[in-house]
Amino acid sequence: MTDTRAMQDVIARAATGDAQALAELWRAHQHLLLRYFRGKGMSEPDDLASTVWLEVARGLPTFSGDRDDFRRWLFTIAARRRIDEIRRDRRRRQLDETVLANADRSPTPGADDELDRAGALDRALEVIRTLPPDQAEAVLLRVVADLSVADTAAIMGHSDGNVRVLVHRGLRRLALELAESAPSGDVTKAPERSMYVS
Amino acid sequence: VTGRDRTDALVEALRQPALPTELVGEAAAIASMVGTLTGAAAPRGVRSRKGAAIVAITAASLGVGGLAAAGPEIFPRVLDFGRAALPEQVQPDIASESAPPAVSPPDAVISNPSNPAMPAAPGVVAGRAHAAQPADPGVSPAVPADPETAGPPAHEDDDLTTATSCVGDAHDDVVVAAAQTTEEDADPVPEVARPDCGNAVTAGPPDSTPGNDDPGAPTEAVRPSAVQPVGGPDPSTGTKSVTTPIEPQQPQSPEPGGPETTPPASTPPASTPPTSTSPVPPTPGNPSAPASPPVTLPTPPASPPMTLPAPLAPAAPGVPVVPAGSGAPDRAANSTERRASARPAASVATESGWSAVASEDLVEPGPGARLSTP
Repeated sequence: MTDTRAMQDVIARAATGDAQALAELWRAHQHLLLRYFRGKGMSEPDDLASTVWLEVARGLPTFSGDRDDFRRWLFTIAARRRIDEIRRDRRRRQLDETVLANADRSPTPGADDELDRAGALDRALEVIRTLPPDQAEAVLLRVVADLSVADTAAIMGHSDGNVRVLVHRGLRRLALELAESAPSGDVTKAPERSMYVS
Repeated sequence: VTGRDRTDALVEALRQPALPTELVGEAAAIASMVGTLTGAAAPRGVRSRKGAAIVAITAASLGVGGLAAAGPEIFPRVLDFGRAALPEQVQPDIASESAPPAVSPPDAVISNPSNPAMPAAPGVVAGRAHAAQPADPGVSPAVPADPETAGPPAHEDDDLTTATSCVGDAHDDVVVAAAQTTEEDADPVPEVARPDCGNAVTAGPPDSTPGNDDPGAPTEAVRPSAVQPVGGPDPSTGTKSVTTPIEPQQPQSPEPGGPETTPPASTPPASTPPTSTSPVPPTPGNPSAPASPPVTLPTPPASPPMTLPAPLAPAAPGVPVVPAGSGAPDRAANSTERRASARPAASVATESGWSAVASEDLVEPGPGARLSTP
């Protein structure tokens, strides 16, 4: 509740052009945007994120809502920008392949914790990119953006039940992928029904 | 490690806090966002400035275009009034306009034969216009045509009634010189411009149109002040009504309330060159002030020159007078109507001043005579 009110205040100040409030918003959501774009296989997630933030800045004076509303609005914009980028970029597949190739050469986790985290994120995103587009979209919006089923369904243009199915299938497939890539352990067990499906 | 654990690890990896590499470029992003937010008014300001510039350019274009379009009509009148007026008054076809059989007097009052489109200007210089007229019978120079002081304008045919038979350019020059002079001791223009010029003037009805067709029968004093019923000096303008009695035998006084021109088909005698062929309606406003002293006629330099009546221009000596009903009556009527519709009343006063020389001996009409012009 406190975070929600604090975020409302931040959003209100950001709407007036407060740089600190804008920075706070940006720091709270920028990495989510980048992960979303990377998980969708976009070649230049930073540029897309910048485009999203500019559109957010243009719409902030007319925006009203709390943190969840802002996040829903933010990822709605991100999804539209991604689609626009896909329509513009005729070479998306080729670039995606390039991204995948580069992902293979991503730094391996080392002793450094940051590198471990970065490596885990890269691997996770790599696995997500192997999912079908709808499943990846649903998983990213539900897991990364932490949107509700309804919001995800609204962004994707599907029903809530369809979103739940997509998320469930996506997570199960991720578990299978991770089990196959894991050196040991029970990899054949399908993931249980998680909180993201419900 | 179960599958759920793997999934949880994956979800945890996806939902981990932001890495430092993901927050690169924060300053630039924030700056662009702040610029987008605070610079929202800038585009409106730019649009406002552009709009103002567009409005200014449009207004300037319209103004320049309007002046350019109206320049040929306005500038010659303002800057070169006299020269612009001369070509119109020497049109040869206007000679036939001088003999309209019946000219509506009220129309004639407001008509200006010299330049129909020319507005009345105070202080019309008559001399310049007359200088170009070879057969100018008489000149009433420089009559201030102040609309307020000029009184009711004389009728249209005043300029046409200068049926004096002053033949010869020398006389015209003298008259013009007298009209243009500003010396106080100069001969009065009415004296100089006495229409008989030593020639026998054929008697004719002074105010009637045929009498006016008679070149030797000038009938009116048409100076602005002379048009006034009193006929005395105009205290406002300082000018006096001048009547140049051409013939004392012109007893016919203008009918008050509107002259009815009944043009008899009288032709001027051969001895008198017909200079004016237009019918002259009665001039009730002509105060026949025979005893009035010669008038010192100011000639404002900036005032537009009074123009001769169109019929007088081509009416060279020897040109037969086109009697009423003969010649080109239609054209004459049309031209009369045209002039009557276009001329302001103030400009008529100048014409009356011009024709006043030729009609000195008119009987001073009543106050309401021919002054029905508003």
